[in-house]
Amino acid sequence: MLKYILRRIILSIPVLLGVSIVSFMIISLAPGDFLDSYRLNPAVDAEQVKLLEKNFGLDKSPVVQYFLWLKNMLQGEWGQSFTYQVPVWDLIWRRVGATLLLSITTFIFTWGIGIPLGIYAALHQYSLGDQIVAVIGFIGLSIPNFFFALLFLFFAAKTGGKYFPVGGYISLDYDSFPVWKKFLDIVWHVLGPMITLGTSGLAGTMRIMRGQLLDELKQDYVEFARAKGMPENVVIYKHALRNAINPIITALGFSISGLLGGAVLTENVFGWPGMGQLIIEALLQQDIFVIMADIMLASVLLVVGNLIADILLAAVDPRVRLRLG
Amino acid sequence: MAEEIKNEQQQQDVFEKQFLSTPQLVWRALKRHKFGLVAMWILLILYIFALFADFLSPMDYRVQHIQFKYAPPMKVFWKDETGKLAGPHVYLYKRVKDPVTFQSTYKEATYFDNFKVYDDFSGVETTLKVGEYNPDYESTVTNYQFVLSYNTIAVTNDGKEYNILTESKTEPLVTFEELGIKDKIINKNEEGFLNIDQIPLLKGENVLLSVEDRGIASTFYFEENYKTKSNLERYNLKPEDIKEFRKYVSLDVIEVETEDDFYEFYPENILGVNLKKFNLKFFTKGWEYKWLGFIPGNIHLFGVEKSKLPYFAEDYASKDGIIYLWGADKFGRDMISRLLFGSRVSLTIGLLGIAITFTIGLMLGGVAGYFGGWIDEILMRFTEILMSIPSFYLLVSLSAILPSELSPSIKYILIIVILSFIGWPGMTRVIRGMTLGLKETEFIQAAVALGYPSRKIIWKHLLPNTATYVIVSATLSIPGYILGEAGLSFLGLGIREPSASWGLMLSQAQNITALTNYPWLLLPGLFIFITVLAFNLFGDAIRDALDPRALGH
Repeated sequence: MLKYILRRIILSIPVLLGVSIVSFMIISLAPGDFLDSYRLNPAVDAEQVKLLEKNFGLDKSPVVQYFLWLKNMLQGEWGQSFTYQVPVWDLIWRRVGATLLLSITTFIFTWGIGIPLGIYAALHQYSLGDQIVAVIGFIGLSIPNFFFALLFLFFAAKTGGKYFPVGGYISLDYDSFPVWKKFLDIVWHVLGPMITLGTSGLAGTMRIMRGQLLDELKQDYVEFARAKGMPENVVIYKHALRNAINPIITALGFSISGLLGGAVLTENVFGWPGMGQLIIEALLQQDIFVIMADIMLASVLLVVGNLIADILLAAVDPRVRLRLG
Repeated sequence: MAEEIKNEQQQQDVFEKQFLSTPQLVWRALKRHKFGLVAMWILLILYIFALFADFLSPMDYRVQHIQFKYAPPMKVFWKDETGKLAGPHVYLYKRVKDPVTFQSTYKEATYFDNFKVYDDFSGVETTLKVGEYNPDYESTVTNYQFVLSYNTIAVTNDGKEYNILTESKTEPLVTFEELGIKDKIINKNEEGFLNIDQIPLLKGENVLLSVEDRGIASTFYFEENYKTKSNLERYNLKPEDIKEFRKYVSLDVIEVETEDDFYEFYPENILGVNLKKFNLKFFTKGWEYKWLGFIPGNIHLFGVEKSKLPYFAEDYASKDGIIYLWGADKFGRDMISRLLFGSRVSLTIGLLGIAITFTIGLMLGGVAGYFGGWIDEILMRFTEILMSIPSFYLLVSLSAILPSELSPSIKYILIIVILSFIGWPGMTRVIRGMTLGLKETEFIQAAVALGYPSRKIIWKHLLPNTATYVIVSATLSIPGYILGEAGLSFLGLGIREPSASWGLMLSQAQNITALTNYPWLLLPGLFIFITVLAFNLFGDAIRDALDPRALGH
């Protein structure tokens, strides 16, 4: 197993390197750079702009810039944000927490509700419950995240923020709260973005789970186990479910990507200070190092997510473990 | 008996399976999906609406009417002020500002279209209608204004009333409420004019506007903001003496301008008035458009005539008839028209995006799967890299590098290209996987053995076999493109003003004030939802219909 993980990690290095090249290329394609506003500003003289260009390394060709960036990054030096004049790492570190918090809670929400509902729907195929779940699933799948977020805020604002806060990460008087209340405050604030992000994933998880379990229940081994006189619960939960959950775990890796992507819009609407907000700001300001760090980090999360998914898969499905060997 | 029917049914099934063509079978299977069918019709209607957007839009979607910003949906009235059925009609708005909170709201305003007056100077009775030639004055009426006085009565603790003139205003129009006839039905006289006796303001009487009952706050408010202080001092009144204020309004004079003269009429000379309503008409002439880019036209399905009201009637500069059945946006543009034109972008972007993605996906996937080896290796590594960047990050980054000064149509094409660029890796991977499997089948091996060129094998033999998957996956991935464009435009990185797309329209609803005060701004979101839902349901139905098991092969 260790050997497998190691191999996967080594294999992901060229991919991440490729990601960095592609991202840098895209950013270099953009016309102009961060200093454009200074150049247009008559109050800033040309000498000063030249000096800044030199400091930021903007006077060199994109290829040289890329290798400089790569060299620095490998040494743990992620560069400075042009806009905020602080090391990129400091800027991102604060945001990663918020994004991870959102992703993890959303993930728990999606799986915690989606899988049981999917199982229920499969076991009660064509019943009223199944149909209701299907309708909810389709609505969840079709409602755009940012529209749902707007509706959510609309509701929160109409009720005067009684049930849900009107956006944000923490309350205004957060600093004065005792520790337990701080925790509750964050949980209260994460509910909105979590439900918004979760609904679309929920529908997918539910539908896949239902389909898979139905497929497994039609298999010969299920019939065999029943014929043998095995209790129905054992047949379903110990044998069929274990095989049916397999593709859901594969979807885990993708769902992390979906969460990060969907989060850009949801964070924007809810004013959630995560990485999605940061990257939009950085892109508009052409703050190269922040964008690069943001994309790299997101890609690492994606790669790690896929790795975790594969490891989980091996742990759950005995047939997969053999193939890994 | 039951056995017989069942038998017959079976025979019919066998017959259909043998003699119906594949499209007929697919259609038959599709018909079983009620939801899928409904979704299909909804999509068809939406696309037809998008095609005929110019004809269906009552107003020009680009023209701003800043005086009607955030105008609420107009009410359609069926009965006129006399209570008789008069066909569907609307009234223009009047913006009313709350004197304390300064929040403006809209009221359906009743503009006076024409009125009958007695001219004491020449001694003639004449009917004046704005925008029309008047034979008595030999001139065209261009404008009219109402000079109104606002009076306040201060009631002291001992019950004495002091009248204070607060201000005199030239007001363009009156609403039912201001006339004091909010819930009252007014009768018409023989000539078809409204009966003046029932409209006290026009008869020259004072009309109670509103009773100021704001407690202590009203006292301060009157003292500080109105020119009442000197008056109060003249009466020797102190704020603590005053129990309440009452506000009255009265009409002083109506000023009528014609092309070359100016007339004044006092309330006692007005014999009758008519209120201006805007009749909702079908196939009306309105703003000009070029359908499909070259067929000129100005006929619209429905709308109201352009108003001939004077300049203060607020829609003066407009070439459109003002009608906001679903409200207006931040710049006073009609929501219906913008939704219709926005649907052109939002509905086509998915189709075009899919077309590009699938061309790339089929070509690259087919090539990679068929040839294998280093071609496959390079292509797959590249797709992996693209798939390792969270797609929305990539999307946002790509659209952020577009220069902002691009023309709307180029921007639109570039957005499609970017969306397809995000979409192709997944497609390529799946097609490659399918070709890898198909390559080993006997008929492909046979084609190879017969010496067919690779190009022909890929296009003629491999790819047609992926058609079922491709069709299903295309329908199911169109929503992704619609959402992608909507998301980008929502962030301000997609389609730009004054063009319209549903995402861009929805971006106006981003702040809480807009959300709670103008909820009709959320309408585009509803349309995105309906479209995406319809595509999902339709895709689901198509998947079942194209399933070989459903077709009975």
